[in-house]
Amino acid sequence: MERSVEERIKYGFFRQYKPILDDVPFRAFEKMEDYRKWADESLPRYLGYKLVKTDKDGE
Amino acid sequence: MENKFRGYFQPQQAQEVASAFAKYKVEYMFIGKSGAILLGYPSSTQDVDLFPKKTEENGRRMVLALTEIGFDITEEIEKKIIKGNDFVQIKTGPFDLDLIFAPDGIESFEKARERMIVIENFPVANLLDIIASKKASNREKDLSDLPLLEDFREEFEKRNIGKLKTTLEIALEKIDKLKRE
Repeated sequence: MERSVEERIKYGFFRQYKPILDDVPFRAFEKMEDYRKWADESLPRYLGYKLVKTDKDGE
Repeated sequence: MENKFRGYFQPQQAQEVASAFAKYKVEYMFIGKSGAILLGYPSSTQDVDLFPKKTEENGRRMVLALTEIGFDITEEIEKKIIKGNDFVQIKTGPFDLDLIFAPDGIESFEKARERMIVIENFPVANLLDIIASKKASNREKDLSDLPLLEDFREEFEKRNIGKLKTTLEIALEKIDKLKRE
């Protein structure tokens, strides 16, 4: 919080290749749930996009 | 296969975004981790997450602004933005950009705008909304951020009492001032 906004931007953003996620120039989903489902099913688990199962999901 | 356009968000680009979006009167706010970083959250990300108001007119304005700052907005991307697909991810510009027209956990753009904080030239969603959105997304990476974001919010509020105001507070003050005149 001590950093200026300029420093927050300078040190807060970076570039790192993420497989699948970064392999197309553009993607769009009509509904957020479609995007969440795509990410859950398509991206490697270690990227962190997996949905967390809850009791509601019956698991 | 890495996209040839990919770079990352830098202070100069941030100013260009703020200027171009103001020029074309785009209604939007930073959200997600990128929003939290602008408020001082000590973390890092590669995406800029924006929450634009979901109207065709605002979409058209956004297309003009993004083109001006160097995004290659194809006809297909333009259609998706103007239509206001809930989620549009663009990697054909100077940095990676996610347009989230309907973030989970936030009731409406108007409500979020009332609580929004403007820091320098950057409209940023309130930390309460950033946290609500991450909670509602139910993704592993977002849920793991939550405890630290909650701690940050407490500290942020302690340090900024009376310093930063939401747009609603600013509007109410203006109304109050007008009443007194």
